[in-house]
Amino acid sequence: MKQKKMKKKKSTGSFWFKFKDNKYGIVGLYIFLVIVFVALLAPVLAPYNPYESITATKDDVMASPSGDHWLGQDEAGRDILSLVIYGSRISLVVGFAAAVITVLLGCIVGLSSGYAGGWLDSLLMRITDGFLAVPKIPLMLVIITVSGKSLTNIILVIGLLSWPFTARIVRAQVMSVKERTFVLRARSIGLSHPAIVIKHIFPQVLPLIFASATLDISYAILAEATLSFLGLGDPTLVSWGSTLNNAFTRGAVTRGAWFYIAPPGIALVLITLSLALIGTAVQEIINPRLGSHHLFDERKIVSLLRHGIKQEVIINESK
Amino acid sequence: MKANNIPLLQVKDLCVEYHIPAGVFRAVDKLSFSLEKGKSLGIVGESGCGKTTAMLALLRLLPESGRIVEGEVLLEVEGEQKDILRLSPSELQEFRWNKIAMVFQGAMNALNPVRTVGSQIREALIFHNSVPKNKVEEEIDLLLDLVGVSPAYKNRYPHQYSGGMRQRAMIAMALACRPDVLIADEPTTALDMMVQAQILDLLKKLQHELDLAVVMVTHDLGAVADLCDDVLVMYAGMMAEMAPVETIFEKPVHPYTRRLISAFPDIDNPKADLASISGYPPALNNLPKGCRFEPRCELSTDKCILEIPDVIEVSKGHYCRCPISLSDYKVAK
Repeated sequence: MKQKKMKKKKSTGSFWFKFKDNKYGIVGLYIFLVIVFVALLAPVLAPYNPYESITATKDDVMASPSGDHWLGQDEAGRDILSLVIYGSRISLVVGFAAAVITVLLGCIVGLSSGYAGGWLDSLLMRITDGFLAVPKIPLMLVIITVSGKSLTNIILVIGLLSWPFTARIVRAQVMSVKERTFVLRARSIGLSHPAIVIKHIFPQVLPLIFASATLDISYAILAEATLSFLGLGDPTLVSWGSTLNNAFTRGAVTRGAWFYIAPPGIALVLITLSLALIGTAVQEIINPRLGSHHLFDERKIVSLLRHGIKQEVIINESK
Repeated sequence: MKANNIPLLQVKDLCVEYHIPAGVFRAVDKLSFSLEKGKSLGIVGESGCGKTTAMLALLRLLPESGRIVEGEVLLEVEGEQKDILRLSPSELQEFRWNKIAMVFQGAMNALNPVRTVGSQIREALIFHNSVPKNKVEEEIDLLLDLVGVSPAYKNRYPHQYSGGMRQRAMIAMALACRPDVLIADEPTTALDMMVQAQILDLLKKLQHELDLAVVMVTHDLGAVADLCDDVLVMYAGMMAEMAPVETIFEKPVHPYTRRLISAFPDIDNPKADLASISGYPPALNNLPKGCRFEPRCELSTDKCILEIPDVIEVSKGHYCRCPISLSDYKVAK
């Protein structure tokens, strides 16, 4: 029992150990954590609450950065720093919620279509092709216009329209995995089809799903920003896209209010970049075939020595 | 004692076809053999002669395009013979792994690379309830120990195993439910000579310790000589010759067997040129009307072209599908 516990610790430990060695992954993770941290603590960190109504004087309109307002003020006199800080909440919520829908649908369609084959595969793939063929942003615009501008609608629209790509990737991987001998062996043992899919095929597809999920999140964030920028965001909420929309429509460009346009844009770039970096790093690590061999332990010691004596002690402890 | 005259595994006239868009391929044709408890049978033949197909058919694991056209696969259970090919799916599940298990070809592909070896052995144990739940871990250790892998390697992944260890782990998996019959499909292919010898020794040891009946599919005649009691030589889906191992090596009758053995290096005369058999095996979707080896056979007569020769019992336990060579053989004797 005790040994089992130790083993578990070691495996998560080695994941972190490898992740730590991946410079890009670490940079991405730090950026991402900072954004999550900011989103969680928005009410504490933001100097003003952008949802509170304020009385603005003529001087407050698009005022340049000052001691009171580090990133200046928007056309209604709101603090831009606070807008950007609060905007991170919407971006993250939309990103995660839509990505969950995307991944779930993509997995279900991809796994069943790839594993079952035959008419089910043809049917599901024709539907997928249909979704892939339709340009997504115009379709989203239409649906949001008809169904109303709300956060739930935005999440649903993005989630329900982004799965085909994930489904395609998952299906391709499933089709190659299901032909391998261990699936035949599992079948000969007597495992049912759902059990084979869950126990043998899904773990093989998981790294792919993980990596594509990070891309799905950043796609959803960008899609939300696009919709909000085009004026179809939830009007009651502050998001990076809606801030950009305000800046654009209220003539921030002509007034040279760079401090109004740049911060939400940079924030979007940073979160997308961080997710892309994490995705690449996770994909490299989570696939056990990429990393190691039965002689792996020796290699680990060599790389440990590079890090100095402190880690050498850890290895002795684990033995 | 149970009725002694019923063999543990008896295959009668097994015919398997693949129906694919390119046509119908008869991969196994009228294959018959039987196997006693604790004995081993080697099935040899060149690539594509239907060895693996026949074995998959025994377990009813053929791909969708594969059809078992006719035949019986009789397995002795408590004194009675049951036909695997006519079992219901649930009965079949009971049989597979409990009675008859298979070591699949290519150990790397037959292990799921993202799951630990232990967890894959556990799967069979839990599915078949072969041991009580609280004994499962002990049983895995025992199985790994049995095949010579340290139980400490239980929670490692297949890629952390060497080639020989993977093959051992595959054997442990096949033995999980203590089957009576073990089918080993090319267990030594893609391993180096030392490891091949170790795996063969392991199979021999297990066969004696567990009183297993082993069917080994291979194209390595050396492995057959080492491990098997009987040898079945297949050519283009059909049995060419079947005999006890000494007979096959010392007094082969079928021209194909003779050529096959002369194509194998002789340890007493290692510098001798190896014989080869000119030509190719026939295409399985366009088989000759007569004997399948006829186009490559030096003894062929007009009769060989016209009809498939019958199986003749040369001596006890020695069957051959070639009347011409038999007369030739008798004259020579």
